[in-house]
Amino acid sequence: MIMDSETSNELFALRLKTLGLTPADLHGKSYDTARLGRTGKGLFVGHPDGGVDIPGHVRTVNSVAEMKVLGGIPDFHFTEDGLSDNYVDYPPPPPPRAQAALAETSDDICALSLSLGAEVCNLISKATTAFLLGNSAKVAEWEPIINAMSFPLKGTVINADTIVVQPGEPLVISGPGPVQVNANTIQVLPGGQIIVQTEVTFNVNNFIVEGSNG
Amino acid sequence: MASVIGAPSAPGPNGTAGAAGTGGANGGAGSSGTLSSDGKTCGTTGTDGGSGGNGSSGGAGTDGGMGTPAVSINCYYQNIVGDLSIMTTAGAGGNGGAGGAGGNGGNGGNGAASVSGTQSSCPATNGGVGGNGGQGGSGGNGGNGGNGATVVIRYVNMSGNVTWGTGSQPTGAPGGTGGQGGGGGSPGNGGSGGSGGGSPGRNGTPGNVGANGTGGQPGQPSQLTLVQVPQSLVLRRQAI
Repeated sequence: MIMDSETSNELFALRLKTLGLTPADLHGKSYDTARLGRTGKGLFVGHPDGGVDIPGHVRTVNSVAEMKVLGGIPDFHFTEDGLSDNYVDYPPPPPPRAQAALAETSDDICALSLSLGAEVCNLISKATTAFLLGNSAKVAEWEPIINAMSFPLKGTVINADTIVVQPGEPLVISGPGPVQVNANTIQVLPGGQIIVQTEVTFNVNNFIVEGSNG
Repeated sequence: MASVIGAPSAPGPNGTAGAAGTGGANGGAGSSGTLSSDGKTCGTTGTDGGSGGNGSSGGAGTDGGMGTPAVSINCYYQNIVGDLSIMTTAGAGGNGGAGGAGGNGGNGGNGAASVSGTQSSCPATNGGVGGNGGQGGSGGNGGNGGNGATVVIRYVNMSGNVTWGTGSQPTGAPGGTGGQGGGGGSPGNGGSGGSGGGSPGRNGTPGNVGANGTGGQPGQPSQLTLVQVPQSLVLRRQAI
């Protein structure tokens, strides 16, 4: 049962608000993969340095906490709404020496990486995923280490009113860096495909797959 | 059914083959004996041919690289209409490089000929022993497979289905295969005995085959999580 469009638009405006956007930011930007793709291999959108057809707006993300707001799962789903987080692979807390290493080498990523050692460094990616997609309080001790090693970073924002994905002309989302796609409607025609080549967050009011059983 | 959202990742690089070992040096030729000045005895006995040098071991192949992990996808879809299929593939681990072949053993030196006088003679000397072939290098280990993706889809309303592309949850990518161990070097040939009765040297022994590398471990499985967000919750929070 699909809600009426007025309610849907109202709710989506709330979602956009958390991202610092309004519906007006999406208006007037309609993309058709068959019409705008210049490469013959689909329509490439993403970071301007990725050789894309539609370059997005590059913004600086200063911390993993900011990244969670922009592209993660809010903690309240786990702490108040009863969502299980058993899909999240939480790493163990970092060893005490990691905090000392951070204090001594916080401005030098190479030195920090050497000081932390390969075992700890290998857990940073897991901790970052857990922070973004799980209950961040469970990996709070990793937060300063993640920030020192990975932030600030450049993310790309693609805003669109409508994106039509045609068969044989896929929508290709590429980096470098994470990409956020905000759209009022993404319409995938029969046989159409979206190819994701980097970490992506979709925020979409209506995601419509044509020619299926829905 | 083709997937609507696909996220392929590249396999890890293959390891490189180890360098072949170098061959052993050939042994020097033996020297003939010398008769005493009066020709009645063999004053100095000749020497046998020198032993051939052993071939060096082949170099180990390098390990294959880890497959690229599948990218994570986080979705907030307010309304999903139709069937949404997702296919994420992590890269397979690279294969380990083959071990290098061991070097060949050097040939043994030849024995010297006998020396004859009027009343005596110095015997021919024996050929040298051929060198041993070098051991083959170990194959590199296969790289680990890339980890699968974490895909989270939050939605308010859905009219249709969300499935993995194959209809079943994909596993992480397989690890690469270990590299094949290098072949052992060939043994050197023994030198021939000197004319007049010297014994030929025996051949060296072939080098051992290097150990094969071990296969890489598969990556962690992918995960798809669907979260249905009640409309009332969105309204109550005024944020989502």
